[in-house]
Amino acid sequence: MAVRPTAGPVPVSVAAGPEAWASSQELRARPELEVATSPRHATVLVVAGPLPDGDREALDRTHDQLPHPRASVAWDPGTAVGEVVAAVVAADAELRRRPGEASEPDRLPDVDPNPWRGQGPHGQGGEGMMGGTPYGRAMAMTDEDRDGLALDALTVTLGPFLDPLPGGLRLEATLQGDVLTAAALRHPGLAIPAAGGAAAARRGLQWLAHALHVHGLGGHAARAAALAAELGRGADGATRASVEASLARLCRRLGRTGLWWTLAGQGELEGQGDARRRWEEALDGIAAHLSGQRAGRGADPGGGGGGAGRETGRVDPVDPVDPVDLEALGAALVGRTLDEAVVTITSLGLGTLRPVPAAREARR
Amino acid sequence: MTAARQLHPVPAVALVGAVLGIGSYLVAVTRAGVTARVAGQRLGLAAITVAPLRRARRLLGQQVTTTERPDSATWVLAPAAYAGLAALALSVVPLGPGTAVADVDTGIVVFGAAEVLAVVAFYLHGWSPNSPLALAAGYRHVAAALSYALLSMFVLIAAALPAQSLGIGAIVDSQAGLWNVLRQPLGLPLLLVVALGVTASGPLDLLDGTDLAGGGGAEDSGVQRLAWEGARAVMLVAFAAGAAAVFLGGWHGPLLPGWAWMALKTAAVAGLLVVVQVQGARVSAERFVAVSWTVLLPLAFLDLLAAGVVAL
Amino acid sequence: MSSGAAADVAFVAFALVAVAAGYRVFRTDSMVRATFLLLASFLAVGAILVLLAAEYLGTALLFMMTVEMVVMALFMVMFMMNPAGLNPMAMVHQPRLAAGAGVAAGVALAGVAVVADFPDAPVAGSAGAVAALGAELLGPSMLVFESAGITLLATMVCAVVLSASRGRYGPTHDGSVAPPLDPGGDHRPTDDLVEPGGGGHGHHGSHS
Repeated sequence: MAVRPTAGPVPVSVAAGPEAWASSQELRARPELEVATSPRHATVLVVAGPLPDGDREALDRTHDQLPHPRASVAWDPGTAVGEVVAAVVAADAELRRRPGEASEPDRLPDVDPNPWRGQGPHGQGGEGMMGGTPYGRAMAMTDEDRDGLALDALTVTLGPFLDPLPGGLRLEATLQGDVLTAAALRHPGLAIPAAGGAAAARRGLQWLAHALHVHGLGGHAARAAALAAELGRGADGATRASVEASLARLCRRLGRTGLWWTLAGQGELEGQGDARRRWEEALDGIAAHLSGQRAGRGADPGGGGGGAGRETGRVDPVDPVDPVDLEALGAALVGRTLDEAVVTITSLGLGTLRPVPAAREARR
Repeated sequence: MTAARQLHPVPAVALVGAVLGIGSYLVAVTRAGVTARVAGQRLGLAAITVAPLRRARRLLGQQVTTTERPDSATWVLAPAAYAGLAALALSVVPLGPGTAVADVDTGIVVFGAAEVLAVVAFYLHGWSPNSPLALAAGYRHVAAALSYALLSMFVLIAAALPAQSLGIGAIVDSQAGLWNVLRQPLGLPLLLVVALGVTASGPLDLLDGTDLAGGGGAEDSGVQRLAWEGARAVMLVAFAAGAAAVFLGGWHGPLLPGWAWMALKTAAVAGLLVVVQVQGARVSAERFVAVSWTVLLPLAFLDLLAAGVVAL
Repeated sequence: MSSGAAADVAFVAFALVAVAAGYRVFRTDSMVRATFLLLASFLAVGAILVLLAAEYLGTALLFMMTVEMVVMALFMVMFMMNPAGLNPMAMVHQPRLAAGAGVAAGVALAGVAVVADFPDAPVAGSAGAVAALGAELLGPSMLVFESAGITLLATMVCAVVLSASRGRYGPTHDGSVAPPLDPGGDHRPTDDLVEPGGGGHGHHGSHS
């Protein structure tokens, strides 16, 4: 076990590209770190995996949101988790030693994106009660709402490094309050390797760690991440058996948290039931991959697990047949509240349980 | 009936400050311990007791970031008002026989008012940073707050009926023979649901929820964040003390002095709340409002009806 | 604990806070600040009620006004076309007429307070105030309070029903459109309140 740093766990913010996002969830198991939900809570920014070019500016913005003293650590693909953790701890120690000098400067200029063009005595611009455009922003206009009301609409892009969303996913949402009136999902695309068995189970556990964190169960999320890390260290039969037993214990504990009650009825999608059903299928799939490989000892470890899963005749979402249709998903999210949209996206397991098709050209 | 001794202002402030300070530290330690246990991490007692202090030191050294055109005055006011309301709620709770900062005749109403005024702090916490996720989180928590505020009113008034007085000291005195938790079994569970909402934690952590990337606290950093999280712990202590006084017989108990019993009971309620906080999955605001109005509120009516029938 | 002089000082302090906060409501440009300054004014009045030995009324005023002001802030930010309520915008209409009327009313009321002959009957502590209030509520004023209470409860339940995702006409993600006026006809359009050709000026006549 690593030596705990003397200043407590280091809060880190993870900015991960689509390929590295799943394995970056294993950082939740490390007691030396505390994976923060917001970059403003973090000291060190961990940049994981290859990032799509379009995300460079978003990365700079995220970096500038970290409060001083701050540092960033790159996690190249192929580097072990232990090395990254050691680098983070070392960066934090350096910051504590020389907070003023070692803290990284801003990457983007600290300039008001909407310069003030006010005229009136109280800062209003233009004439009349609308105030013109005092900060370069037009007044919000009301838009049709349901039930015959009219409510302000706000368009905001969430992602690609937002903690509750999968890495690389952008949600362009038009919100009235917190209800989505229009949603578009963009993702650079991610293919999931066809390897079954322990690798698929590990991806499933990484999904579980993130999903539990999104639902407010941080302690349980750390436990799931620890199981994923355990599988990563060795894929032999004894490890898989112990992970399977631990997973069963974790599922029993989840029953006491009221998670199934909160998931029931949320995130209903056509033909796929609600979030609870998808969670149950995912957990069954993970357990099947763990036990299937154990049964198929001597078989090819690369592709044996998937075959065992399919032989049982169950739809196994950890080895899915259809990837997610982002356009249909965006259309289905309309009318839901923002947190229900997050719950829906989480329960689908984009990037961990299911591959994501490469985005087509944007229509507008 | 024990006459409540009104404390001089200076020792009163010191007493409230000490209780809230020590209590919030113990709450933080307990939460660290329970989280480590749930996560399966082996942490020694030394590590757990020092963890909140290290966290506080780290936050003190962090820069307070700002967003584009927040309302700075209300952003700073929110945790200050929240902590002040917790102090107000604690000041009407008798901490020992005849020891209360201000055991007024309408103590239970003041206690309820402090909890309702906290809604203002929640709203300002969500609105001030001028950030869409913070605003959405603040609004959904206010929607839940308006639902649990009603619950608390009925439950607290039902507890006041056997005492025939709205003062918390009188309510404690009326439990000399039988505690309210036995006399009104529905009351304490409902009040604990309210406590989770008032401290915005556990299943009702809608205000700083991880599904909205930290919600109202997403834009907080440094001292601002420390102040808000400290205020939440302080409110937990104050509410637990109130629940212990109103339902668990306050300072009544054999052998030990009154303040020791009060401390034990407050610690028990606070500990239970911390365990539920760490182990409770978040409920959506929509679901909570539905359950609150269709199930919990009728139960609160029943509780009040039963208490009224017994009192007559 | 409260001597006469301390109570007088407290009264003057709370009165000044109430008037100053009320004045600031109309001089600030932020909708949410205006709302909470009004709340501060109400809180000061509640404190004065407590000083007048009407403890229950004062505390009840505190928490009623709090929730009312929070709900007002919610609705102002939702419906008043001001991004999150943080853009400064002119918050007053007909300022000169309103200022004149306010000053005149203030002078008249102050005149009443100075000239009128108020009774001098100090209440001995607040013992019995709650009991007297209870006797009044359940005696001569029972009809008023019971009917008001039922009306308020019905209003709250209706508000919760309207805000649920089931909506008034059906689930939100199915469109939640009003049923047709004639059976078999088209769904009644919802743009009888909002001008069609969206993105326009909406309806901005409903400043309250």
